[in-house]
Amino acid sequence: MTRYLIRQFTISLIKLFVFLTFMFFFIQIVMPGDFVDQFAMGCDAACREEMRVQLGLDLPLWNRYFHWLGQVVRLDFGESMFGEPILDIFKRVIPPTLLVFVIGTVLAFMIGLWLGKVTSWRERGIGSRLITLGGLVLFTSFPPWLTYLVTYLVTKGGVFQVVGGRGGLRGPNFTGLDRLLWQKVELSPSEVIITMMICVVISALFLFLLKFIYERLTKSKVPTLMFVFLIGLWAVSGWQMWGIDDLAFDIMTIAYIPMVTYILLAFGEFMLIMQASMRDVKNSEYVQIARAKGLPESTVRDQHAARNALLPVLSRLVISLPYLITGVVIIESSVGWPGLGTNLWNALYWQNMPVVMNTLLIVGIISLGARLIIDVIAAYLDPRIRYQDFQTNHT
Amino acid sequence: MDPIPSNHLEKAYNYYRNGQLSRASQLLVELIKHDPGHEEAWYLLSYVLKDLDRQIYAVQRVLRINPLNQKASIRLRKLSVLREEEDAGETLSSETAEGSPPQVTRYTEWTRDQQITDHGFSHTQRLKFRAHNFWRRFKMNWNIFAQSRLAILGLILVFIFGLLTIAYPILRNTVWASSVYDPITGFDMKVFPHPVPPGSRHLLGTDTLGRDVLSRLLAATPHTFVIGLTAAVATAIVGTLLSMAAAYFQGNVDTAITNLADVFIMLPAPVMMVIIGTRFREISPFVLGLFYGVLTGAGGTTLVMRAQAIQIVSKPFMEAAQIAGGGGRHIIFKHLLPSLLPLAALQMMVAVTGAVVADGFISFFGITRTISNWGTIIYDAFIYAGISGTGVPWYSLVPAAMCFSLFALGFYLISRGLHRVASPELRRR
Repeated sequence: MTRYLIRQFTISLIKLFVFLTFMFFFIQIVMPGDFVDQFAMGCDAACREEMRVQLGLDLPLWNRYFHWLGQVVRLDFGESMFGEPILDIFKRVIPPTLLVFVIGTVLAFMIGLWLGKVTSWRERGIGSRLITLGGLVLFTSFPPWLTYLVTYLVTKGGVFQVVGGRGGLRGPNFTGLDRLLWQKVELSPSEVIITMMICVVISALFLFLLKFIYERLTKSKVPTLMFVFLIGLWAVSGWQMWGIDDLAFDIMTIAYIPMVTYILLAFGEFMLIMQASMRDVKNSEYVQIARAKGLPESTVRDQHAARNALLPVLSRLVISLPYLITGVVIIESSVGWPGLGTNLWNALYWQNMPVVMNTLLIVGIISLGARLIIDVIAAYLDPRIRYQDFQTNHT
Repeated sequence: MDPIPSNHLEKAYNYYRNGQLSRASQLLVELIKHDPGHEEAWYLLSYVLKDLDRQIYAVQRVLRINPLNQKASIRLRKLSVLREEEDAGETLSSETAEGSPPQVTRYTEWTRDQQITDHGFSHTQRLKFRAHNFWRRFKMNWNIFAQSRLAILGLILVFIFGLLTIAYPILRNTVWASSVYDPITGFDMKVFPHPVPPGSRHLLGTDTLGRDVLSRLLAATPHTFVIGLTAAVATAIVGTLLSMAAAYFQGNVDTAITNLADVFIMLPAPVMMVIIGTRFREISPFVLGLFYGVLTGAGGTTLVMRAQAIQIVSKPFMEAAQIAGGGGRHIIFKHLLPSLLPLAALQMMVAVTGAVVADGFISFFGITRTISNWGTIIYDAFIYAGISGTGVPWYSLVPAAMCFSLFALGFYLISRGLHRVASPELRRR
C-alpha cells in the first residue's frame, strides 16, 4: 500500500509539471501582446523598455518559463495586476470554494449512490422512473438557470445575487453576511471557514475510526444517515468549542444556497452511473447466491451488490472531477459566492491575467488532489488495484 | 483399394471445360471417395454441381479442409449472396443460369496476386453486398436502440431542433419582416409596452427591448448546432485515434497517452473556453467547438475509449487477424475501428451537451457580447430585469433555459440509447 501511494504521488507530480508547462504556453498564446503593451498605455517607448527589463519580459521565453516554474515551486505566485500578492487572494478565495466543493461533493455522492441503488433495484416502479427522470432533467439543465431557480425559491422571488456581487478591482467579498456580527471580531470569513472545515474533517475521521472499531466489536452496522447526522452534530459542537459558532452559522445561512444548487446539479450524474453499474452486478451469480442464503433483500442490495457496483462509479468519478469543479466555479459566480469562481470571472473582466493563470493552476491542483484521494479510496476498496501494473490503472 | 489414377483430376477439368458436367462429377466423386480430404476436387466439384445449395456445401468442405483458401472463401461469399438473392425472389444470378461455365484454373496455376485481387465480384455486386451488410447491422443496432423509449424521445427532440434550424432562414425570407424579427435590432412598434406575454402575434412574447423571443431563439440554433457538432466530431476523431494507438501499440505508447490524457483531464474545458472567448471576441463557433472537442477528446474520451479498445485487442479475433498477416494499419482500421464506433458515437453525444452548455457560459457572464446564443438571451433577461426593475421577464428567460435543457436532454437521451448498443453485456437484461 505504501509503495502504491508513493508511486501514485510521484506520477501526480510529473503530471503537475506537464500541466504547468501546458498552462504557461497556453497563457502566452492567449495574452494579447505582452503585459507592457497592453497596460502601459501612457508610456513612451523608452519607458516601456525599462518596464520590460524590470518585469523580466526582455528575457527569452524558456528563461521566463524556468523562472516562473521556480517561483511556483516556492509557492510564490507573484502579484495581481493591481499589486496584491496572489497568494493572499488565494488565501481569501480558496476556503469558500473548498467548503462548497468538498461538502457538496460528498453529500451529492452519497445521495446519488443511495438513489441509484434504490432505483435500479426496483427499476419498473413509478417512483424509480420519476426519480430517474428528475435526475436527468437536473443533470442536463443550464447551471446558471438552476442557480437562479434555487435562489428564487429560497428567497421567495428575491434578488439574483443574494450572497455577494462580482466585486470591484480587489475581487469579490462577502456582502450577504451580518455586518454587526463581523465588526466585533478580528477574524475574516475565510479564516472562519478554514476552522469550520478542520472541525468537520477531524470529526469525520474520528467518527470513522469509532465506527470501524464499533462494527468490528459488535458485528453490526451503523446506519449511514445516523452516521452523517453524528458527524454534523460533532462538527457543530466543535465550532462551539472553538468559539466561532455564531460566525459559522452566519456563513452557513448563505453557504447553503450554492451548496444545494451544486448537489442538485451533481447528484444526477452519480445516480445515473450507479444505476448502470448496479444493473451490471444485479443478476450476477453471487447476488443470487446471497439471496438463496435467505438474506433480507436490503442486505443483498447494500452489502453484496452495491459494494461491488461502487468501483466503476469511483473510476468514473475521476473523469468527471474537473467538470464538477467547473460546476462549482459556474454556480459560485452565478450566485456571487466569493470563491475561486467569482474571483476568476472578476479577473477575466478586468483582464487580470496573472490571477486567471494561477486560478487555472489551482483548479488543476485541486482536481489532482481529489484524484489522489479517490485513488486511495479505490485502492482501499479493491486490493487488485494495489497490485496492478501501473499501465492498466484505468480499465 | 485401387490406386487413384493420377490423371483423374486433369480429366475432370477437361470434361468441365467441354461442358460434360455429369462425367466430370463422376470422376470427382470417385476421387473424393478415395481421398475425402482432396481439396482441389471439392473445389472443382463446387463448379460442376448445378444446385446452388450443393455448390455451397462443396465450398464449405473445401474451407473445412483448408480455411486459408482465399478463392474458396471468396466463392462462398459470392454463393451466399446468390442464395439470398434467390430467397428474395430476384434472379440476378448469372452463374446458375445456363451458358458458358465460368473459368476455373488449376491450383498450380494460381498466382498470389490472383488470390488477392480476384474477388469474383463485379463492382456493383460488391457495393450491393456491402450495403446489404451495413443495412443488416444497422437494423440490428436500431432495434436495440429503439427498445428504450427515452432514446426515441431524445431523437425526436434533436430532430425538432434540426427543423428549427432550417425554419429560421425560410421564415426570415418569407413571412417575417426584418424590422420586427431581426434577432438584434428588431422592434415591434405596434405593441406597447414591452415585454408582452406570449400571444398570437408573438408566439413566445417579446423581451424587454421589444425583440421577438422566438426569432431570437431560432436565430441562435444554427450557431449552437455548429458548436455542438464540431465538438462532437473533433472529440470522436481525437479520442478514437489516441485510444486505438494506445491499445494497439501498448507499452510505452500506452503509458504516455494515458498520462497525457490525465493531464488534459485537469484542464477544465468550459473555463478554458470562456477564457478563449474573452480574448478572441470574434471567434467563430467552429473554432470554439474544435477547441472544446480536442480538449475533451484528448482527456476523458481517450480514457474511456482506451479501456474499451484494450478489451477488444485482447480478444481472440485480433490475434487471428495478426496471424493471418494483417498489417498494423489493416488491423487498426478494419478490426479495431468498427468495434469502437458505437462508443465513439456515445462520446460524441456527451460532447455536444458539454460544448453547448460551455458556449452558453461565455455569453451568460456577459464577458463577450459578440456571440449571440441562448446564453445571451438569459443574460439579457437578468440584466434588463436589474435595470428596469420590473422583475424578471419570464417570457424570454424560460424558453431560452428550456432550449438549453431540451437540447442537452435530447443528446443525452440518445447517448443513453447508444450506450446499450455499445455495451453488449447490457443487452441481455
